[in-house]
Amino acid sequence: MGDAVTEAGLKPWFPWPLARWRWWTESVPAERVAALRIVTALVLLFDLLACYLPHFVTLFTADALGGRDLYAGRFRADHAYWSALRALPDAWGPQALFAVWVAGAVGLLVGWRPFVCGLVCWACAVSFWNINPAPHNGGDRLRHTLFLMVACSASGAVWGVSSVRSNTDPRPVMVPGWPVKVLFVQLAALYLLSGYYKAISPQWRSGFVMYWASHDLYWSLYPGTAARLPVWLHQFSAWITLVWELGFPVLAVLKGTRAATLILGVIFHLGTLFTLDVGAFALYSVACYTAFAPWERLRRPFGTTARRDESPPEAT
Amino acid sequence: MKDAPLPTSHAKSGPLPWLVGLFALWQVAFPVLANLWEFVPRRVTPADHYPELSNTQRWGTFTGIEPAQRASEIAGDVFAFWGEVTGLKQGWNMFTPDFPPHTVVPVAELHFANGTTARVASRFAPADPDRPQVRWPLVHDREFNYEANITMLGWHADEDTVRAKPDVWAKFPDRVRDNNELFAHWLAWKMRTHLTANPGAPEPVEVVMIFRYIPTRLPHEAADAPRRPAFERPAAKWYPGGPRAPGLLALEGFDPVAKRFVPLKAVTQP
Repeated sequence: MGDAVTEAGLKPWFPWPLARWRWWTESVPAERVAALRIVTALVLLFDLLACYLPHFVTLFTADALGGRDLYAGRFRADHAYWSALRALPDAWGPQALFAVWVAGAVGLLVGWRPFVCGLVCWACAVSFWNINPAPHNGGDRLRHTLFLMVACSASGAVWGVSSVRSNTDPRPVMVPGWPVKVLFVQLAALYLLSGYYKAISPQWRSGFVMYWASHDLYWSLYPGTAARLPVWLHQFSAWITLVWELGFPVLAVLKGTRAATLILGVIFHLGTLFTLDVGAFALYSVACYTAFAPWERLRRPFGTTARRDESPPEAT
Repeated sequence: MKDAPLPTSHAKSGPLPWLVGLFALWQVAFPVLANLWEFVPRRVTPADHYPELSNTQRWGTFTGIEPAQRASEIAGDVFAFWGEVTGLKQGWNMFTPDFPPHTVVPVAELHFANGTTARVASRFAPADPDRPQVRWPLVHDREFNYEANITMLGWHADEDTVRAKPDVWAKFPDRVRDNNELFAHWLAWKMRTHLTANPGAPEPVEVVMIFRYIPTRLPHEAADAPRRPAFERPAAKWYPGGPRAPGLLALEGFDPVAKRFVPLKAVTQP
């Protein structure tokens, strides 16, 4: 590549033979992790301001559904759970840490010291999750990986106030790609395991699980509409989910099926967002997918045309 | 057009790239290994008993060779430690094994000293099961998650299932005790909601959590067919005045087999 690109971020050292494994060691265009950072920050800000804040007093004070002793057993000596809220006074600790969390999210959004802001968001997320896991679900475990990888991904190299690209040096910027690979492996493990447990369930294999789920007056967001859909459509959606989850680790790697698999993933998560009360799980999952899209196509051309050796890399 | 090869990382020497490389390798291996290790049976320790045994971990032994079993359990401890420290806990089995053929909604029933009662419903309870309203996603999602952690404990406790598995459902009070803070906080919160909405109302002497089961129409039934009748069952009872005897929780669990409330001992966690 020579001088055609600028390299940003700390390149990790890997032992042989991993150092020669291109999938693992390749750099990725900085726009991909910058987009990951921005979308993650937007989703987080929405979660904080629209989902947490209106219920904050209810969820995190001892007079309602929270308090430091709600899950006191979680902090026993034979476990490693922790929360900054255990060290802060009840009177103002939750509010103060929440404000820090919002500030961290804003920092990520504008790309100001994204390593520090990413770690702040991760620490705040873990603190609130541990002090009261009940208002959280699997999507919140996924977001911990997301925040850590955003922090590690040199995501401020472009599209942010810490950007290394300047008007005088418009060369494409590449960053280490391993955080994107970690996100992919985490998603693949999540889908494969969930698919396995679905595959051994008779109700999932028969497809009727989606009939019961979409008609559940508590879990379904639109049970009245679901009742007007044919039963076979509910079954079909269950089977598609099952096949897609089990196939994701392979289909999302193969070049011929990658794009369709990732697009189906986004559709799947957005579909569950608007049909079932899965909450922020759908949003954080979609945020992860941001890293797999070729955002570098939005880059201003370097010179008259982009060089052939700057072609978009594999998405995963 | 074939994609050109990407530049690969060539790290400078020094401890920092080495440490970052080690961290990266651990992070990419962790989701795979931690999930795989859940299929390797391990022996239960006191640390595994909070709040309940994981339902994704296999329990027991996989070999009679003690050093091999012990080594596997130590590896599992390392994965569990990392999952707890970082919040990256694994074990994914969402929406499994199944959904029940009915809706379960919680109700707080306040019992007053004069024998009267009042009810406080969940915000997610349908006002009319035959004309359910569309709900916006995300708006009350956090509160929903809290409640769902309670209602899912009684998800499958319909009469037929309880009759078919009495040994399982007779232990329901144990599950209430494992989650006693969850139940007690929700019931206390609903009681305060009632008292705030009704200034001057007396404080109840007990608050009962009731699970209301609303059957779903069967797949072959018409969309406007009469719905099978809903039924209710208590799940727990909370005493606002505190435990009724030393050594007990202020919460009782309902045994759906014996059809009675069971006092719950306050267990000191190991």
